[in-house]
Amino acid sequence: MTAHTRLTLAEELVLIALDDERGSLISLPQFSLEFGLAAALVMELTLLGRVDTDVEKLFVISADKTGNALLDDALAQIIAEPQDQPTGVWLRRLSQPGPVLCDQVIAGLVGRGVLHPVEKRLLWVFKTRVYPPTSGLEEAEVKSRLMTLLNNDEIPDTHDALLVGLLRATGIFERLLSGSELTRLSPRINQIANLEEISRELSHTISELQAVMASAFMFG
Amino acid sequence: MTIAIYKLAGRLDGASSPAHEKALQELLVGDINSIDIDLSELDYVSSAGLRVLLVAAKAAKAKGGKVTLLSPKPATVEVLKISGFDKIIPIKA
Repeated sequence: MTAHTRLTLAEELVLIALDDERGSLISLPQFSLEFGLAAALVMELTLLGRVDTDVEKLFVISADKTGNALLDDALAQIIAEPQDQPTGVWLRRLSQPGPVLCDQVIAGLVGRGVLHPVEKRLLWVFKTRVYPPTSGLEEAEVKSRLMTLLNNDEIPDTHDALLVGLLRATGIFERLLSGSELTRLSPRINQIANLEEISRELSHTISELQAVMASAFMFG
Repeated sequence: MTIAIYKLAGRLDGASSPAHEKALQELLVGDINSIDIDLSELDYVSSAGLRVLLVAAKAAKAKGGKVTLLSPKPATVEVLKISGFDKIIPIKA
């Protein structure tokens, strides 16, 4: 893969989830980025014609490798399990590597020259690594594409519709847009995100998990 | 507006969608800028199948035309409504 090929949905999601100046991930609702990345892998596999979904299930169309290690690993996991399980099952299962999944996507972006690692010291003692953008062009392009799409009534292309679904479900729009912008653009965001079954399932899965966590917190 | 008619039957899914997507794109040549897609014999549509309809609608709109979905079965109507396609692509019973 070269820096000239289009970024994957997982890469675009992480790029937008990184704070430009600090080079670290913005604060998001717990687990939402992990589930978002799992969904991004499934979405990319659908775009590449490897899997397909309907309102009841996810199913394999082709076992051919994609050439992307993360996608091929996700596809191998799906192929190895009983077929025709609900999409939500796969979002939960593929999210299980947790932060490791995000680290792998960041490593891919570093490999493509989109991000670069910088060592920092926290409290003058602890070493930490952050990933500011190398040029910032890729992130600016993604954000510009998104804002153009949200501010017109054009029919979205599939990749962008899926990305809108990822940003809605993970809560990134709440961080990306001002309160008034979010209120104004919410109907359009929902219209675009709801076009895709995986996006609807992702929002449902994250909401369900957050409700369970809130309930566990309240009732101990 | 010059309209072509295209009929879908059986299953519109990840296996069949690439061929239909190509065929629909090829219809939008010359004066033709709109397509009426007959869904009366379509039994099943997956997410990949829905995308074929959306891609065709986007291409037609870019030429100043539109895609209209004709006579979908109730199960197809349900899928189109769940995803909000009925707000983007006109459906005629």
